[in-house]
Amino acid sequence: MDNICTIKNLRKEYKEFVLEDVSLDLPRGYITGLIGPNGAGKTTTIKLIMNLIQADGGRILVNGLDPTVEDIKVKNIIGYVGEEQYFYQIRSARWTGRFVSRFFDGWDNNMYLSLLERFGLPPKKMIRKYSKGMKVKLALAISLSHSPDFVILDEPTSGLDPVVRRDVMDYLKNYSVEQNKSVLISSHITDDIARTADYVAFMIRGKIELFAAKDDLLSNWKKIHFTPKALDATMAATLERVENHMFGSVGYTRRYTEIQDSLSGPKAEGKVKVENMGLDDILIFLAGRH
Amino acid sequence: MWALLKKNAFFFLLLTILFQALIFIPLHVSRLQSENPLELNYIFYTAQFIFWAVFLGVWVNEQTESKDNGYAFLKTIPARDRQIVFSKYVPAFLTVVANVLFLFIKNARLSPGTPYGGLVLNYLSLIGGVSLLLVAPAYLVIFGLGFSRVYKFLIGFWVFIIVFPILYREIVIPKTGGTLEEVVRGLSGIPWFYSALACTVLFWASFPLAVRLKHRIHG
Repeated sequence: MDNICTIKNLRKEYKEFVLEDVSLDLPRGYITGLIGPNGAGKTTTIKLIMNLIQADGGRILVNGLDPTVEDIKVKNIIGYVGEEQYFYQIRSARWTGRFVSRFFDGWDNNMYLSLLERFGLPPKKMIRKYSKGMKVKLALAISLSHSPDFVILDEPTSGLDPVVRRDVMDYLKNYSVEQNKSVLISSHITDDIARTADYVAFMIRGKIELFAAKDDLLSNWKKIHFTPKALDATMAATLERVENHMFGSVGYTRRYTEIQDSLSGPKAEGKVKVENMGLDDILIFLAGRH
Repeated sequence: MWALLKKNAFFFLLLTILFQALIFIPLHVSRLQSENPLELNYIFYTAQFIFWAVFLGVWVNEQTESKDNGYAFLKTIPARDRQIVFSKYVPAFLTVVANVLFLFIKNARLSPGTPYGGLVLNYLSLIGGVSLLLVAPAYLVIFGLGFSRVYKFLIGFWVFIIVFPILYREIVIPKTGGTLEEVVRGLSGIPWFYSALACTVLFWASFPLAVRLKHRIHG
């Protein structure tokens, strides 16, 4: 598969945190969600892709270019919305658009103005008078107005109300699907990722614990409830983890489609109940292993 | 580049105009009304406004940049460190040149036909050059350590530069037994072209180092 971004053995060390040996291939033309608890290393990974900080080891290629060498070219490929929105506060959105248009090769001012209108952002209003949601939308408008091949959003929806969140995520989904663009969204709000992402990477304590297509994850990760004595040793061996309770056992599997047959039939009737796992359940499961 | 230059030149231009309007005009009017409009004493004091204008321009500009996390914003768009530093150096340089020229033209108008013209130009050029030589290390510490770490030091330095000429006249000159005019005449001994050229070269020579420091701290 063609990748928009390839990360190999990436390493960044801080006093109390280490991003360790992160390797990840982000497929071109799809939305990848980067999920992890706070402090997992999502922002650090994104800052490294953006060349905002320097890595202690490993390599990143964006569209085949090394951001540490081809910083300007890479930033022309990427549309970035950071965790915090930094703008010149006493300036307007219109001024900011004019200002950044000088730096991006493919800047489309008509697109920028139409995005401001679509997001309900008054172009002449001072940015410091914008709400947090408006600033996120402005950052998104700026990040998309040069038609980047790769959009990176670092926790874009945290702190936003549900209406704005939905609006932003829907726009991104359409942008990716209609224009075959790649998107990386980091978030600890798994609902946003579940709605929009095609692939999901789980990052926990500075490591990529799991990377897979979202549909595969949702169809293969299951929580299975067994009545007392219904769980035999053969089945238990195929499960990721088993928890025994007073009223039976609970097993977790990441290979449900493979074991599905052995869980059905008259023998299992009334004794086995399969429960879907959401992305947040999978995250909690993976985080719980540490 | 042009966008950055315009943005950064704004405060320098604003401050220069404010200085001229609030400080210079009343001073100049009072001089024009006096019997002897151009005294070396007057040149000695007004020359330091060159430094005030440029240093305050640097300070206000950097304070705004720091408050808005401007450098963090610029790092997320395809702006080169070289462009960013250049857009800081150019307004500072032009502010000094503009103020030197303005003061020279104004002083020459105050004393048509006097032999002061060459002396004034030499003196203003030297003070302008020294201002550039003081602004360059200011930028180096700003880019090397970050404005938030050095702004108190910069304020202290600025206050020192304001107070220094007064202390010099009140304490140093009486002790040495000289006069202020002698000091100005002594400092005006260097032809304006040499001081302007030397200080300009040294100012721009610090530019590559400033780019490297900027890249190191924000890169």
